[in-house]
Amino acid sequence: METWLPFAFESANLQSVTLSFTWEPADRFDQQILEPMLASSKSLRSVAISPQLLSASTLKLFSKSDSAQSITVLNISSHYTKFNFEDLVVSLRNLPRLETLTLPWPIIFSTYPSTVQTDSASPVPESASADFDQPHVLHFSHCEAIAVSCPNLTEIHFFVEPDVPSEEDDYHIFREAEEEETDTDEDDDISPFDPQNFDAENDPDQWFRVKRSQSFKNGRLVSVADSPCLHVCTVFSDTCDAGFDHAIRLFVLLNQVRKHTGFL
Amino acid sequence: MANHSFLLPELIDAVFQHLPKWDLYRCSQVNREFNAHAIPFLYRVVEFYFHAPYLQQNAKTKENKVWRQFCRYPELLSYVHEILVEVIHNQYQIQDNIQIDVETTPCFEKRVEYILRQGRNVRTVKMRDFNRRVPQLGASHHLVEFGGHLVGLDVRMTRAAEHIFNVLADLERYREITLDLWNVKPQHIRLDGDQDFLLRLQDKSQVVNLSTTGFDSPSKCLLLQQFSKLHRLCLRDHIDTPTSETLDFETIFENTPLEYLQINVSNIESLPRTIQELRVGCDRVGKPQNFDSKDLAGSQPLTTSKRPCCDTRKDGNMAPVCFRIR
Repeated sequence: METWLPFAFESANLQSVTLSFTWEPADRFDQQILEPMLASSKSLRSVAISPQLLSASTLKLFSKSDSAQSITVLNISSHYTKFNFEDLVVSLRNLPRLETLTLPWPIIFSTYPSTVQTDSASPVPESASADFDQPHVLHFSHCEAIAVSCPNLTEIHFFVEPDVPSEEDDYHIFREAEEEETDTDEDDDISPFDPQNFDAENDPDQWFRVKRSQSFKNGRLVSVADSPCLHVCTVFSDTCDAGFDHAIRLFVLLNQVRKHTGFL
Repeated sequence: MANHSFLLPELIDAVFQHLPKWDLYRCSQVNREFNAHAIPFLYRVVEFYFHAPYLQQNAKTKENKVWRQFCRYPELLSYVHEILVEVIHNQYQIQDNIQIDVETTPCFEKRVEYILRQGRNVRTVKMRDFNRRVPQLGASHHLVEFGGHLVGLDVRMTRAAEHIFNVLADLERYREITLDLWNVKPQHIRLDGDQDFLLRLQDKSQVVNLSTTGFDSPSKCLLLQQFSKLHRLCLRDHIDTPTSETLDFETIFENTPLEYLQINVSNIESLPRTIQELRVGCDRVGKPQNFDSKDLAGSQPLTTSKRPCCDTRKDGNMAPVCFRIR
């Protein structure tokens, strides 16, 4: 196995960096490329990275780097994720100047291709369901913590699914059986998503889509049981981009969260 | 609207800079004030096309109209900031055998020289042949008459670029130039590539922004040392570094005030210490990055891509990344 050595990076003037390493193993991307850059930079403002797998260890790099404290823009896109919202909250504590944040929604994928397997002692875990991907659930406490850590951040943009082929149902993802989902401790306090519970024939198209998307959001992605505030502090967006693929996103409105903190 | 001046004229420019030419043309007819603001944007970019016949007449007509305006109102040349030259292949006639077209712009050399000399604000030259890499659209299918000979569109493009370089070298005053080149080299003439072609530019210190194809190995990248005033550099081709070579950008650009670097690599030794904005990608070997003209203007938002299937990644054409320590 090839030994990976840190990249000799000595450009302290770096202000903006965009890294796109689609074929790179995750821990190698962290240790050899991203970590030396964060360590050497003194005035980093904007970071856009596109690793194959966004892991908790990648996020952790931002929590322990001094240069991360000057970052105002952080855009991350990845094909696979291996982190949860607690990891994100911890990392963002070290980014007090953050103004723009774009992330993939943390999802436990049913399968990870071999190329994203790391060589470390903790291999990528398999999800509980072998057939379907499972999204992590966002709680109001997560939003509160982020709102406090990043006072200049007004919105978080999550890409739930970057592009769903136009010929597929928008909400085919995360379609595991309801009974399986409600058995878990983590997800039993969120509303069920019932795509059949709408009168599609009588509802106007748009209204039908709005109701279905809200049900999907509350049933799969956010926990409105512990705080109904999340229902209005988050906006679920299902748009058709220029490439005619659906982009499913969720926006967290942190100013709303700040208003509701302490009340709900 | 026609009788009253616009209350916030500075907003007009802010809006007009994003409008396409046809909308600008219509805005120019609103009133005198709109006309005065729209005209500079209308003539900001002068376009030339070497193209297949199905577009020839239309483009030729437009080009002649613009040229007539320049002849009647030479002051318009001061608004020109950019010269754009593109090759458009005829994808609908690729099944046919060799086609011979007449020279599409017989006055190209004369016109572009006049614009470069008189248009003192011209700072950007873009020359692009996007379809060069599509095999069925090979430029050899389309011949044009040039200098008494039949040549391919690729050769015609190269001759045009050489002429522009010669004019730039002869300009009386030093002028900082942005060069944006995409596959500007003749296919059938044995050259090392675009980088060799670029070296024919006599005064390389003129070039402060460079975006180009053709630099796909460390030895070719070494040639960039001659561009001593480069501030922004975008190398579109994947730089494949064999184990016997190293890609030491810190040494290459040791005396260059490089601030922006955009590369696609599999192996790199170091980066310039002066760099402020860095874009590094690692795609498949030989696949050019799909960056548009905004590359040199600034950052673009990171785009998300479709989750690839495992089979794709098992493709043996992947580029292993290896960053070495010095």
